[in-house]
Amino acid sequence: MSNDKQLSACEFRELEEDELIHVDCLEHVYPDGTSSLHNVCFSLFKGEIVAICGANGAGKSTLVEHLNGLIKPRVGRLIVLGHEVAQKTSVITEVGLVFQDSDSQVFAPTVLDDVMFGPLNKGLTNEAARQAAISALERIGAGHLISRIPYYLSKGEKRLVAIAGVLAMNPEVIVADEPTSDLDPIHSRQIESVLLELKTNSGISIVIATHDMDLAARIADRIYVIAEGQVIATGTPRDIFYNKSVLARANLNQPAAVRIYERLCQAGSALDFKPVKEHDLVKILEKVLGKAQP
Amino acid sequence: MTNIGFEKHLPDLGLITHYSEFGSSPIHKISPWTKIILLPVVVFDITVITDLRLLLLMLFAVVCIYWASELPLALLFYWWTLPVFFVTSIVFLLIWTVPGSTLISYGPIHLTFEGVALFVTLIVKTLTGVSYSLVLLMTTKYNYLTHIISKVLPYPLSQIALLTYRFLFLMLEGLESMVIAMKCRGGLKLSGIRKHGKFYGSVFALAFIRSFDKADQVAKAMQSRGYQGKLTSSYHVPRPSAGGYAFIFVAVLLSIFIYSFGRYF
Repeated sequence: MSNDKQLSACEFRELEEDELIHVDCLEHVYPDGTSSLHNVCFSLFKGEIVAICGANGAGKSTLVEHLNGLIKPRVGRLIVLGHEVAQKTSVITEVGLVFQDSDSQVFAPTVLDDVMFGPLNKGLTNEAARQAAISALERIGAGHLISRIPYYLSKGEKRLVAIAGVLAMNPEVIVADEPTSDLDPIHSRQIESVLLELKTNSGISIVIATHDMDLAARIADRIYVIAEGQVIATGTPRDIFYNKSVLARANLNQPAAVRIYERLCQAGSALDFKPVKEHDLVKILEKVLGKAQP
Repeated sequence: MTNIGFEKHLPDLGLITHYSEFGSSPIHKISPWTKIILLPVVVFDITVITDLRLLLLMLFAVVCIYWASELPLALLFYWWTLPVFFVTSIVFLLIWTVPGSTLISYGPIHLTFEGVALFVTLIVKTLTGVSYSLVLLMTTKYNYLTHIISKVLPYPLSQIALLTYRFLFLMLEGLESMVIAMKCRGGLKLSGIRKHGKFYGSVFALAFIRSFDKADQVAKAMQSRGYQGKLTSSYHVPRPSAGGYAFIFVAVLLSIFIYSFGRYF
């Protein structure tokens, strides 16, 4: 785990093989002088899901907007697919950004028009954009929404359409800001499985910004913990979620599986494997209770 | 569809869209182009016709079309109150200055038969236009309307129209939630026009400020997908049938005939 080393000094790192997004020493200051990001370093490798975890106002959304080139780095370095992003560089076709508020993202008159919006901006013909949109909607199981108007969609459906909107642009990376916030558990799980399927079946690398630690525990391969605009820790979910001091500093909770595990340990149960996901905890409990299948 | 509606006399955009999406009357099945082309014809007619009998006949015809579209008549009458109020507020002073045969006198002020006729004529003209527009909006699918808007209106008006209609819903939803939140805290128990005005004034001001924030978010979302000033609609809109073309032809001919010879009736 690389901890507070970044806080004091920041140096540009070498770009590694298979590194799709590489951020070095990123700073961002709002026009009113408020610093929202300070010396942020970040990496995303091919085929992984990375979670940026932090409390409200920690700087997650600002970082996420940099990754798509929506905010251009003024101090620090952003490299996307081997190309350094400068003031006039566009990386919108390589990195798709799914916003937290789907109502703002799904703005076109109809679902089809909205999903076609990106491909048309990419320069595809009307027919090619239409095919890309239909294919994107079908890939995430939202083909039935094609002729609907956004006003009549539920929040979960709007989120699916927002994902299809960036998927239709055929990106290498999808960045999702709070992908399951405001959603009921069923729709949250649906979005979650869509993201996992995109990673597994389409090889798309994914970045999620979230304060839902259970979601991060379930789907992330690596975690970045961000607090007050700084990355305070990075590592695997197991490294991060068993480090109470880091989570406390970032005003975050441990995932439910970790909390239950620690309570069991405090109660005297000797458990040899530290679970992160509910699924792992269930396996451990089955073993402890003697119900595990041989 | 909004849950409470601010007042019955304000057209509910959600309800209008509901009828256009889910209605199945014969009027819903007419080509959107036919209904759209007839709109300027209706506007032309109500502009040039001055004969009150003809105008009443037109209003009656439009109301019949509205009824044949299986749309709620009672609601239409509620919705009429707003244009009637609007016209009255403008024409009320004007009618006292029209010369003619006096009906009522208040000192130097005279209400004439011609003044009353002018008032009724303007009301009927307005209601005919409003009612036909509602028929058009409530019987034409939104997909078709947006496609036609993108084809007919010049840039950037088409872009503004395509974005505005979608966000009117969001703004109304925002307004509604604010009104509910204020009602929950006794906001509407205030009595008096001034207090009510202050209440709604603060709600609308907040909605206006929020809409700036929303516009910023939408702009970001559009830029993140490469927006370069082009928003299109991709739906195929069915062309008018032979009967539709014939109807448009007859309506245009009739309008020209009325315009040319109406003064002899």
